[in-house]
Amino acid sequence: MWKLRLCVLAVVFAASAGCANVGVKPWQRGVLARDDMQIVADPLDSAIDEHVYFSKEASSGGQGFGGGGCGCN
Amino acid sequence: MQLKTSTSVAPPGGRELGTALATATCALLGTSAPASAIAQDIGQWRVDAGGLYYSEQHRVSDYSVNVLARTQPFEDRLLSFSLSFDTLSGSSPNGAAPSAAPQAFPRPITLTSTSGGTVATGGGNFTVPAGALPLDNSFKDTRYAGSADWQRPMGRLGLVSFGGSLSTEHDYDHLGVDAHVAHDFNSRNTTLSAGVEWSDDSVTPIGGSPIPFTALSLNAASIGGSRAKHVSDALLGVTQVFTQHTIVQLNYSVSRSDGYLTDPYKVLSVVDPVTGSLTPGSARGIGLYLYEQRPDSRDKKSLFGLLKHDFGGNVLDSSLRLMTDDWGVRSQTLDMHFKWNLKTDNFLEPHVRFYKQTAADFYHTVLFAGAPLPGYATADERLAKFNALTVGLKYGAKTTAGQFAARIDLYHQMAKPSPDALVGSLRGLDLTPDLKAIVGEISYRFGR
Repeated sequence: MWKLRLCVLAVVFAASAGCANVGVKPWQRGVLARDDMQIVADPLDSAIDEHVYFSKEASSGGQGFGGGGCGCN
Repeated sequence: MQLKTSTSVAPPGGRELGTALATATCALLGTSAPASAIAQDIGQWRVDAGGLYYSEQHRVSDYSVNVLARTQPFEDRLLSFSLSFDTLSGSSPNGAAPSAAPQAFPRPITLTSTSGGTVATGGGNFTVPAGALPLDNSFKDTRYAGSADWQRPMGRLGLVSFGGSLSTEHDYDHLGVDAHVAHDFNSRNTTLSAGVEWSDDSVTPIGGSPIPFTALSLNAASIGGSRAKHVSDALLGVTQVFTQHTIVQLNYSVSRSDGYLTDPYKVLSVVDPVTGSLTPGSARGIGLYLYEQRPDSRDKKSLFGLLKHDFGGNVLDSSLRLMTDDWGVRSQTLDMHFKWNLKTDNFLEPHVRFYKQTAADFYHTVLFAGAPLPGYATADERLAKFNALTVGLKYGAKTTAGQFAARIDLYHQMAKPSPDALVGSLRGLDLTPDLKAIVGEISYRFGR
C-alpha cells in the first residue's frame, strides 16, 4: 500500500510538472515573492512544531530533517 | 526556492531581503535547499524571537525561548543562527500500565541544579492509585540548542549551504552537520534540491543505562557511561511553480539511526496472562517491571508533498507526509494552515493537523508472566497505535518595526493498547489514557 501511494503521488506530480503551461514569467512573481508564499512561511513556528511533534510521535522530518537532537521523554 | 530572480518584481517594503532570508532559513531548518535569491540590504538583520509554553494535562510542562536571526553579510551570501532554551518539568509516563490495584515504584533519582553543580537525590517509593497511569513525577530537564548555516551561490542558478547544530541536556548531547544544494531549471520555475545531514549524539542515562529486561529497582544493574547514537539523513526534493498563485513541493527522504535507541527510563509491567494482575517483584510491595529494549538501528522513509495557493491575498498551506520505517510504524500526517489577511496589516491563521500511526512491531502494553521474553519490547505510547488531532489559531499584526504574533494550538492524542493486553482486570481499565496538550506562543519579528 505504501509503495502504491508513493507511485501514485510521484506519477501525479511528474505529470503535472510536465505540463507545457506550468510556470510563470519573471514579471509574474509578485505574489510568489511574498513572505507568506514562501515554502516555510514562518521558520520559528515550523521549528517549534517539528520539535514538539518529534517528542510525542514516532515520525519526524519529511519537509526537512527531523527535530532531533533531543532525548525527549 | 526559485521565487526570486534578478528580474523579479520586488514588492515594496524590503521583501527582497525577506525572501532571501526565508531561503536561508529553509537551509537552516534542513528543509529542501533554496535556490537563487537577491537581497538588497546587505548587513540588515531579521530576528524572530518567541516564547513558548507547552503543557500536557497532568504531565509535562515546557517553557522555552527561541531566537532565529538571519542576515546577508555580503551580496548573495546568507548567514543564519538559531538558539533555544527549554526548561521542562512534570510527570512523564514510565511505561508501566495501569493496574486494578494501587502500584508502588522505587522513587527514581532526581537531579537538582545548584550553583555547585548537579545534585542527585532519590530513594523510597511512590504510589499510583488503582486504574491510574503510572507517571514519573521527578521529570526535570533543561536543554540548550543552537545552530548556524552559511549559504552561497553555486553558479548562476544554484545554491549551496552548510550548517551545524548542537544541543545539550543533562543526559543527552547532540552534534550535527548538514549540507544542501539546489539548482533552478525551466526559467527558475523548477528547483531540484538535495541535502544530507549526519549527527553524533550521546546518551548518558542517570544511574547508567539499564540492562534490558532486568527488573526495575533502585539497585538494578546498569552500564555506566555514555551510549552513542548516530543519525544519517538524506533528502531529494523538487519545487515547482505552477501559476502566479500556486507552488508545489515534493520531497523524498531517508533516515538511518544507529546505536542506543532504547529509552533508559521506560519499563513494561509483567502481568498474569489470565487475571491481568501485576506479578509481584522481588522487593516487598513492588510489582515486576522490566526495562525495555529496542533495536539498535532504525530506517525511515518519508514522502512529503506541499501545496501553497494564494486566494486573492489569503494563503492556503497544506501538506501531506507519509512515513514508514522498519520498526513497523507507518504514519500519515495532514497539516493545513489558512492565512486570512485582514485589513490594516492583521491576519488570522486557523490551523488543523491530523496524524495517524500504526504501532511498532515490538510495542506491548504489558508483558505476560511465564511467556518467553520477546527480542525487543517497549510500552512507550509514542510507539503505540494512535490518532492525533491538532487545532489552533494564530493572530498576527504588523508593526512599524516588524510583526507581532500569538498562537494557541490544542493537541489531542488518542492511543490504543496492544490487543493482547486486554486480559482479566485490564479489560476494564483505560490502559492508554489520552494525551492532551496546549501550545501557546508569543513571538515578534524584528525587521520586515
